[in-house]
Amino acid sequence: MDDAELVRKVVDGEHDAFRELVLRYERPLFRFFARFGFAPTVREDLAQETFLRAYRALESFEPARGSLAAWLFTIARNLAADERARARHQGEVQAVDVAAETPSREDGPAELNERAEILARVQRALEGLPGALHSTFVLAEIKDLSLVDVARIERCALGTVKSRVHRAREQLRAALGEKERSR
Amino acid sequence: MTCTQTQEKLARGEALDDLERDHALACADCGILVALASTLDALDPGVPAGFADRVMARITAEAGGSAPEPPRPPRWYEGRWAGALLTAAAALVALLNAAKFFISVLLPVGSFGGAP
Repeated sequence: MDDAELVRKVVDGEHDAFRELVLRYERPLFRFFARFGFAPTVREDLAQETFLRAYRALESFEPARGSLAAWLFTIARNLAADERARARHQGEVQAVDVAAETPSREDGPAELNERAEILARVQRALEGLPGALHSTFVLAEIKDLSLVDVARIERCALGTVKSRVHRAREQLRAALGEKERSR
Repeated sequence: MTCTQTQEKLARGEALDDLERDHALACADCGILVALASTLDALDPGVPAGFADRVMARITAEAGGSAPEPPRPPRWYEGRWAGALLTAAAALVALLNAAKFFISVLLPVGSFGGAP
């Protein structure tokens, strides 16, 4: 059953159809918020808020104007931008224990440390991207969204999305390459 | 084998074949992009257990503990076509009233052959 049919069911009163939508999009949303560098508790809050807002406004979703994924990620992107602005304003630092989040049974302490260091560097490099490049790049890296969806969410042309992704990759490559060379 | 080819594949999230992997190992630029792509993949935290239940519970709680009211479909008079129709009807009534008024002012009863 496609997203539009599920939405129709929810609007017609089939409450449980919304659970199906949550199960369908929870993983990409968590991945999205993780790539913004939010701590696990903040991710959960933001993901819940995304679904709640979507539920409340579901009647306004028009499949003819774009995919449900694009609509959901528009809500998520706005929430992420607000949270980033709030955290910056209050001088909060998102402390993400990336090593603890991606443990591997085979990894010893040295590997875990190295993995943590690499992840932290990538996280810092991502954080260093300017706002529009950052959100466009993170959205484009979520494989559940097409670049057309990303353009709709970012309210820009498809060519702009491609150019921003290219520039973001260049900047990340430069940032990570510099660190690599200085080691 | 070119950087562009390898990097396009990485951008599409596709796995590299042996030749491309060899290239990425030899090329510093592509090597960094491979590291970046795999690190981003590692930044996939998964979903905490019971997340969907918690979302549904919040929706239920918002509705006062009972099964939540589904989002209300728009009423017939809230549709765009209904709005346009009602506006047109109102404009027509206003036009008829204006016409009636002007007729009563410009064409007094006497003009139809009443007593002078």
